[in-house]
Amino acid sequence: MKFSLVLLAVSFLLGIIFGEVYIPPQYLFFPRGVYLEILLYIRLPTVFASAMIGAILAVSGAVMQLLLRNPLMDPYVSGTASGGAFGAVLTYFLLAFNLPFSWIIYISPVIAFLFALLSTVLTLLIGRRTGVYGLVIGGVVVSYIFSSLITVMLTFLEIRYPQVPPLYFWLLGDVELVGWENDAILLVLLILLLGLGTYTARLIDLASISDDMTFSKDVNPNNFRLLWIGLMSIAVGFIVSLVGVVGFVGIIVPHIVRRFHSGSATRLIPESSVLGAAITVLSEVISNGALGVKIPITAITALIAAPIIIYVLVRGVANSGIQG
Amino acid sequence: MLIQGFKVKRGERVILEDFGIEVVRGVNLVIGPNGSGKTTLLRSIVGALGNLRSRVPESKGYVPSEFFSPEMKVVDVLLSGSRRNLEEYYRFAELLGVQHMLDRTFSALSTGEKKLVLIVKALSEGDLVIMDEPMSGLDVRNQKRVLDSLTELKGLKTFMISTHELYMVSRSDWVIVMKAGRTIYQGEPRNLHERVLEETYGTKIKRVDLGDRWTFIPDL
Repeated sequence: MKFSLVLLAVSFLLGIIFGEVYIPPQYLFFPRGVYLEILLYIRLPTVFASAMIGAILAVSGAVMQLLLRNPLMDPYVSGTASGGAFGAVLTYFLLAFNLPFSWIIYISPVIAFLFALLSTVLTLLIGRRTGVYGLVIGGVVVSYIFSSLITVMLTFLEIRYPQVPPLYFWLLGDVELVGWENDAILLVLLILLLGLGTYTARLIDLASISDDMTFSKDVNPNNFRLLWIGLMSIAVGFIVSLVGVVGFVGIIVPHIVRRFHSGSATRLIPESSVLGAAITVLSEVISNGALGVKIPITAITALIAAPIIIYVLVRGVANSGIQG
Repeated sequence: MLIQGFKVKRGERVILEDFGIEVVRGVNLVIGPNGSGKTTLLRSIVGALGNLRSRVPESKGYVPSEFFSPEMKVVDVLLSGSRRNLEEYYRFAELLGVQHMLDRTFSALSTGEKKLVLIVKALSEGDLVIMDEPMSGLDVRNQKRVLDSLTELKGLKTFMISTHELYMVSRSDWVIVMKAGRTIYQGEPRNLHERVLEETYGTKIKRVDLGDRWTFIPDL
């Protein structure tokens, strides 16, 4: 935990300094003029947003991996994020009805949530009975369906409405120009997830072992899973309508935490939130121009996640399944 | 107490008929062939199938025959779904010999060791302890340890145990024999005649008396 906190602090610092405009460190504590504006209205809210988005996605990944008994699950792999993106883009079609642009910003998170929920349920229905890989394949299929639909819709939209964010924004993410109001909403969502996660941590552990044992505690494990999926769909739907799809954070972080600490939700959830925040801020620093050019953020998180997914598959962790 | 519940169907097949079973304090044994509905009966009582006439009010401990092995420490498995302190599990952890495993990763244990952990958990948590084939996967020494715990706890808890081990009949307080989703015998263990078991299992079975205990041996 200490390491993660230090990492978070370091990445925060880097995130504030580096970006499209380099802010020299001496201006950090005594900002003036343009630097003050950039710092206060652009840089700080964006870095906070990255941190909270990373925390939310990492916690969601951790909970999904436990509840669905699948080490390869996260809101991206499960199709939740792609469904949410589809919902958000769908909202832009309302432009065709001459609704003011500002309305759409409020409606899109709601539609994004609905489709995030739909896509997750779809993945579960497809993959539930086929073991570990069934869910992953189901998620891939669902992600592809919604990503393709997004591509088709944008082809129609972008000619007439150039203000709609382009394809790479939706599919690969772009954390930029997030205002303080959105930070406030992200904070509420993060507190809800962390709060519920801490309160039900032991229950999550039990649900990952046996449904019947969960029933013995007078809790219906499937309703419990739906509750979590609903909450995560709200959070992920909002994130996607804000910054597009930021993928793989939910896979990378819980695996690192599990390796060094514990697979129990009681440790996994708080540790993942801090490490998730740190890694996402670092990815965002690289994404937003530290290497001299802007790179979509999911490309970076995917490159970090790839060795970890390979490690999981090779080590056969995915095969520690039903025990008799 | 009397526990009543409704039938359970899978598609058109009835896997468990409407039932009413007597459950006494001590060890209630459920025996019967594979597919006779033992697991379904136990799952009904634990509340997993929503088919009970009335809720069982006791705190329950459940040992499933199949479970997932997550990558968490044994202590976390013991504490999962529970608000108890770790000390409350020490007594049975020591009794069943798992006290030195607490810090190990659950998924790295052997099948039998995992079973023992779940038995410790159920014994520590429930007044009504339901175990689905707890002896399967356990070596002779660990089977003895479990039996000793049952003997020690007879007056304090109520057990519902399904098993294939017919030697347990003489160690139990009430026996329920199932076949094809029905309970075909409920009663005192000493009144269970070998003929009932022969009809149930469809094979020749002989009762063998060993002083104050007895067992049943199939004529293989």
